[in-house]
Amino acid sequence: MGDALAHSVMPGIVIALILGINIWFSALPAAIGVALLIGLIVRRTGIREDTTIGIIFAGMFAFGLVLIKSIGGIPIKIEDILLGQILGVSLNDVYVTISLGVAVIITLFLFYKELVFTSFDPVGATIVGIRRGRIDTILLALLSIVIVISIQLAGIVLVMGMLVTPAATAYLLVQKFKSMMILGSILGATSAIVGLYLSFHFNMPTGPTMALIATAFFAVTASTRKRLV
Amino acid sequence: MIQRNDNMMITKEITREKLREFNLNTQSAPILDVSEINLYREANHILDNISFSVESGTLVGIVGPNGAGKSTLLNVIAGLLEPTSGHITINREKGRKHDPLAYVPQREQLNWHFPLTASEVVMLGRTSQIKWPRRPNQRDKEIVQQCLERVGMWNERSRLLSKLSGGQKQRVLVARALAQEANVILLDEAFEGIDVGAQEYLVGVLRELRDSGIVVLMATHDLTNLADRFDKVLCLNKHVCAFGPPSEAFTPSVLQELYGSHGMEFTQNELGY
Repeated sequence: MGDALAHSVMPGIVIALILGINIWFSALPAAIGVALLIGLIVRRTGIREDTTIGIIFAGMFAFGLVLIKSIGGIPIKIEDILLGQILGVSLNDVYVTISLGVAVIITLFLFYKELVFTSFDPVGATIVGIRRGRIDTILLALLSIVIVISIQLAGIVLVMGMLVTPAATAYLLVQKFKSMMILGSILGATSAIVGLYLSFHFNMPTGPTMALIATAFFAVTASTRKRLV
Repeated sequence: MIQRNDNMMITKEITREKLREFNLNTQSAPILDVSEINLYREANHILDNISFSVESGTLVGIVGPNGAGKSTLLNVIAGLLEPTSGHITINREKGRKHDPLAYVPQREQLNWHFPLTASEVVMLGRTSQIKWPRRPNQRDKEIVQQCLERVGMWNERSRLLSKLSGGQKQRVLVARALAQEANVILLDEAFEGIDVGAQEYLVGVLRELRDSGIVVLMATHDLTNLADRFDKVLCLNKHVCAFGPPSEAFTPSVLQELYGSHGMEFTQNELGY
């Protein structure tokens, strides 16, 4: 789902650049819209979710590319959208990212039990009175926000590296879910900082370096453990 | 076993207290009353005029062949499915769907690899009771401890659910149901995939709950030792074929209706009486 959302914001980013508006105004609605659309297609047609995600993912990404080529004269480097350009981030973007990051953490704190319950046992969660539709929407909104934040950092293609890899490494290292959440965040932040400095010193592209560090953490953890869970 | 006896001492205290509470509240009226439930899916009549009532402190087995509507009936009682007609009363309060009822779903409906410990799973049962600022207080923690003790899982509280045996997992889910402070607990195929020893242990736990006034309804297609395990059986094959103590409910004609010509192969010995 994360990958589909990341690729689906492509047309949103392009539209924002064409209109000269902040990408938040177009990328975030695009991500949430696509997530709802996937749910709708699955319910209406009965096609499996992974198939639907594949269709939407490719379709939206293609639409973004066509949009860039057909509307000439805008200063867009496709590479920046695909791989991220953290050095192009303005101070304003930093403030927006911090505020949204804090909002995401507060929401996670408030709805922790409901989110965990729904992921572990959706039927049991409904019985204790948790409204699943609402919790799914919250999760989707959080995921969309985090993806749009990360796209500025790592780009559309590598966003999954920053989203999934640190969490997977944490899953291998610790057993408890709460420890996993904390360690995953620390690993993600460390990958970003280490990647940023390395790319600066060795003149490498920033987004890919960050993703590479996150992958290296995972590779070392996975290979040094005797048994993978 | 020794640990379990310790737990039982504590359990008895809680049991007596609960029993008093129930006697005051229920005055032996039926806790669960299912009345003329019909459910159609397109042209199919899935549940046909189901009526029965269960008094406090009864362990009921819902038996029937595959496709008889056992899980569907549990879903209707749990409020997950809306029946086409009929109504269900729990604690004599019509339409109160959530609170007094807890549900232990079929194994495949749960994400067993989600990294939660036994006590974290039981704490989930407190979700709807935990108020602002949405952190468990001392009382919630005590309830979780009591519930884990009642099912003999307190010593395993810090273990991950994925590392527990099938029987232990079911007991943790029963503890979660208890943590909801439910008067009615529904279990869907809780014997599935667990060995006979673990099944017996689970039945022991359910009997203790029954003794404290809780109504336990379990759907099962496992006909082994039914008479031993349940106070009453609801024989279901889209409609109620029989409802009562196992020795009265399992007549040759009922078995034939449930399982066709194979029904007669279930000897009285296998059914446990």
